[in-house]
Amino acid sequence: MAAQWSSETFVAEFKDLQANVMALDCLGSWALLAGKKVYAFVSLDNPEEGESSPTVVRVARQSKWDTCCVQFNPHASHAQLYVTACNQRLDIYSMDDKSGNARCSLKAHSWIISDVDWSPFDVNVVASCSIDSFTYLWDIRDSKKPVSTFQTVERQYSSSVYTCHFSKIYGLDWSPNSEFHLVTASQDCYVRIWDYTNPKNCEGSINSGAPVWRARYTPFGTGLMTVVVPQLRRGENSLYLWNMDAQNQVQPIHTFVGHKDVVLEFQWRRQTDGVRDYQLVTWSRDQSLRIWRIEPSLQRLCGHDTGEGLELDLTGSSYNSSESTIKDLRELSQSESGPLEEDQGVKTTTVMAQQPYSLQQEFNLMNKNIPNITIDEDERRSPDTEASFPRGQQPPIVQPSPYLPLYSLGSFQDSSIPFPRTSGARFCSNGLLVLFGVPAEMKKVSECFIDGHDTHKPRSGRHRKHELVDKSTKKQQSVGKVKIFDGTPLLGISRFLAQNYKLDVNDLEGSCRHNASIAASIGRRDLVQVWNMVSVMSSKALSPNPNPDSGTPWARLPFGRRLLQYICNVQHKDIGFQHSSTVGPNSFNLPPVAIAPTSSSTHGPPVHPGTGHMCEVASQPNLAALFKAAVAKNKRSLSWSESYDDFKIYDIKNPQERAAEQERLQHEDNSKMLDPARWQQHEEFKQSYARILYNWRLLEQRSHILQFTSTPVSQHKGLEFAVHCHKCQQEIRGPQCSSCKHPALQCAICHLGVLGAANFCLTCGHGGHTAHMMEWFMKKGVCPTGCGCDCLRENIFGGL
Amino acid sequence: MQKNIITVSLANSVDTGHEDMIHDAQLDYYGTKLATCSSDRSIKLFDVSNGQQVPIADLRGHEGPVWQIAWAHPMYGSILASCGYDRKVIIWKENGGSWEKLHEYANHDSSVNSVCFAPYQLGLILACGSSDGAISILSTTGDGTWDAKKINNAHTIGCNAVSWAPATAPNALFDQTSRQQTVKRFVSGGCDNLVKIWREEEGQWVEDQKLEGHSDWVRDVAWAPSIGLPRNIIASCSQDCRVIIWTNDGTSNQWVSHVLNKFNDVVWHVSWSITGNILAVSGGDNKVTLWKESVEGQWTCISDVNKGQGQVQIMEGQRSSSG
Repeated sequence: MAAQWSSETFVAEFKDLQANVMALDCLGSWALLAGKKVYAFVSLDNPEEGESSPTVVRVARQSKWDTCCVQFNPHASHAQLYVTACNQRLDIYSMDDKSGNARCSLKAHSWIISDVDWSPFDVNVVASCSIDSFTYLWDIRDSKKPVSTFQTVERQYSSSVYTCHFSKIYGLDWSPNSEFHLVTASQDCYVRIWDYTNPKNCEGSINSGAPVWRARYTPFGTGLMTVVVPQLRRGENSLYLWNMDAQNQVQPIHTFVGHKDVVLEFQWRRQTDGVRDYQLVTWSRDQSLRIWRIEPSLQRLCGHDTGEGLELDLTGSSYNSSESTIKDLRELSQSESGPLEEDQGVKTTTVMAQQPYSLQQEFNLMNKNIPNITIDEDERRSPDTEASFPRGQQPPIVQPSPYLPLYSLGSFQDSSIPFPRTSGARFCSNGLLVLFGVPAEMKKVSECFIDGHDTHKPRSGRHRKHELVDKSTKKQQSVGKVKIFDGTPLLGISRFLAQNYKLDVNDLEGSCRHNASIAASIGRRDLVQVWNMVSVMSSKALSPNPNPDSGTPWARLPFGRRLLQYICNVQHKDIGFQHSSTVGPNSFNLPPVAIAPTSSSTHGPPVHPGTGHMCEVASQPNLAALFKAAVAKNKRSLSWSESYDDFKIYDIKNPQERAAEQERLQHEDNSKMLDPARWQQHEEFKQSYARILYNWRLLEQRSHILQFTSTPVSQHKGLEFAVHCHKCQQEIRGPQCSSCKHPALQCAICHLGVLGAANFCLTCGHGGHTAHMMEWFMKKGVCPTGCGCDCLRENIFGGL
Repeated sequence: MQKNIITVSLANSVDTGHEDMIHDAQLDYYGTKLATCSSDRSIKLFDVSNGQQVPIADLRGHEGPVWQIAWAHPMYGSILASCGYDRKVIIWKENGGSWEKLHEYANHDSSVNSVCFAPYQLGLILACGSSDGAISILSTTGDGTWDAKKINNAHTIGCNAVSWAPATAPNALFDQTSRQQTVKRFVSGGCDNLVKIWREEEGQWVEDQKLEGHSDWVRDVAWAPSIGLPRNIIASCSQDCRVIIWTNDGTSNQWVSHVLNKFNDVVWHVSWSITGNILAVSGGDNKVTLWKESVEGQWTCISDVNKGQGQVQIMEGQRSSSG
């Protein structure tokens, strides 16, 4: 096998640790070797072998499980933090804390965790992958659950969104260049690069021909380093360096050979200041730690601009080093790596025979001759995308769009941000329908349709429905127009009617007739009927007689209240709005009528919600009008103070009188056209109608309607004066202190408590009845109590 | 009633000039001003009264795509709220013809996906749902200071939509004796596939209801405006391609779900008409359908392209003169 035993600078063996994983801290000073019994921190600057070496710090550990992987936080601010994976659990430790207690544990995986990596962009984020086929993103501040979950291995019946691999994943690494990209290495022989914001899409892959154990980005250029699964291929102990840049990534550009056993872990050491070489640290099952120097020539092969001329490199140190590596390799193949030579002896010999003159040349040769490496040439076509959709599932939910947002910010949580809406329809204001993003190739409709309900003759053939969107124009090259449609006809309300309806409390019948004619003028025959009916109902002849003995009130008869209610309901539910609103006006009218001849007015006209009142307003939002009408009735009934007063008086009287009074009240209720039990609903109707009028800017009509609502007295908000009792210092509400019964305000002139209007000096606090104060200060300027305060002057300046 | 064709005519068409996709477009209460927001990080305002399309303002302040906008009730002035990928909520106000930032809220840890102003009766209150799973409720008394309350972890993984309930006391329609204090409520939907109703109780927001029914992320929720009927209706839509109508009789705490329809693609958006009887549904296939409840309580599509039947005709071109 072609090999480049490049510039290995250091080897140290730590046989006693029995470590199976290794990690480097981000400052490049420590390597952590983790075994079953012990964690050892090895200083990279001056590593020494041996149990008593001062550069090795050991932390004992008790566990029956091996540590699956270790990773230091890559952020200098949290350099002491490292995460270990043990069986199904992730633990966060701090190097400062020698107690060996974990800071927190992250549990969610259901099987052994195979690799873990910190985000190079967010100090708190960790990604972990597991044999259980899931990849999780964690925020270590919230250890209860992962922030994101991806199913990274396809299962036949899964409905999850993402799959890339066909077999278990061994390795995972976060891209140093993009916050959203992860690279995963799998048993299926592929290395995949994917974006976790769009995990369906595999953005790059390498087929190494063998199961891949680890894949890590290089800290320079666009390189990627891989190592194959140790267990399966004895003798394949090499590391491969790839350039992921589009045209070059078909072949590994370099191979590191040297370990006598499989490479368990490799990591990049932070570049020390002033040194252009990067260092690669590897840990192998042979229990040796090796540090490799990556020279600028290699970096350049990964697309990294080292800022040095190419010539210099090829003729200088790297050429020499290549020579030396070849020499090393010879030794290696002769002495130690028997299996390797057997496996690939022929190819290796070929390479050896043609002594390369430059690195470049050598690599070219080498690449052609590596038998195990085949490159998936159409990775850009990302065949995984198709494979990733389980049977029976729809192709991507999201339409590929030419204008994906330009993300300038980003975080690990982006995967939980829903795909942006690219089109939509919103009802705004009064039935205006705003469509955006809809490439509207709407059908042009040539036939003339008439607004409204009843004027329309039903067409025998059903009409074509409206195509809001033409499927064929899914992708538009430019941002489509925003279209505003007038959907008010759908709602059964009309601004025209609202504007022209009349609601005259004193002439309900006439108002109704007026409204009927308005409705007729725009062809709303349904409304005409309603108004006519209400008009009849509100005629004076049907006004209730205040005397309970004079017969059943009209409202109690079948065509009275119930009819009105029915109309309201129908309007409501279906055509509802227009009708009911119109009716609403009627009923409104009625209430006013009711008010005039108290009981009668309640009865007849108001019967229908808002028949009367609303006339003006009601026309369009029938429902609303209805509501209002109803409200009006309610109000009327409530405002009928006469009866209530009477009631109070009677209360003191004998039972007979009381009974009579109750009967009277009952009668009154009965004679109302709108069911008093539903006044709240009618109130709502009116309020809704008022809202609609507001949106139309028909403010006059709106206030007209609102006159008929029984708005509760709004609670006082804002500043309030409070008085403190000057005897007991309690806060007083009302004229007297509740604890000591001292009057809250005492007049300085008459020495009585002040109940009504009062004036006080803000400086000395004395004052009293406004009238007394007026009188006093007409003549004098100083305080009447003789406290010496020049109240008039003080308050002038105070005011300024 | 017999079936009739109702014509919905094109009233206006605005070329927004956005450089990237539009994510939301809304008219103000009067229907005269159009606001649009886009991935190009801007919000544009147009005067669309009387069929014109006059640009008013181009609001820049977001550092990422702007997802949603919301108009406040005009009684508070011309106020617009926007939210975006940059984790910010910005409240804009018109001042003497020019628009400026009134308030900026940046206390979310991830993209803010939805903003919604409360009914004006409750005051100037804004709810914001974010991908960090939290919902913020911003309120002001008008003195320039804004108070923020945050419901942390309202939805696991993320909150995608918020919508306020109309300002009616829950039992107002039945309680004849007293007028109750209006309860502040809103509904939210999120990545935990749940629809949740929140209620303010003694100044604290508590979960009132948890409605389970969707099998994928809930993308939008909409509480239907009240027109006085004694019931509450909520529409929710999800990436599971379904729209669910949740109804409540106004007296109990029971919410009944009814699947409006299973669409062929993810559903992104639901929107109620002001009368609360028509629902506009739009989704990933860029189609818009209108749904209406019949007197019998059945929901029917009144603008279904495929079936070729329904009651709504949507017309481009000039409005007929009958209006």
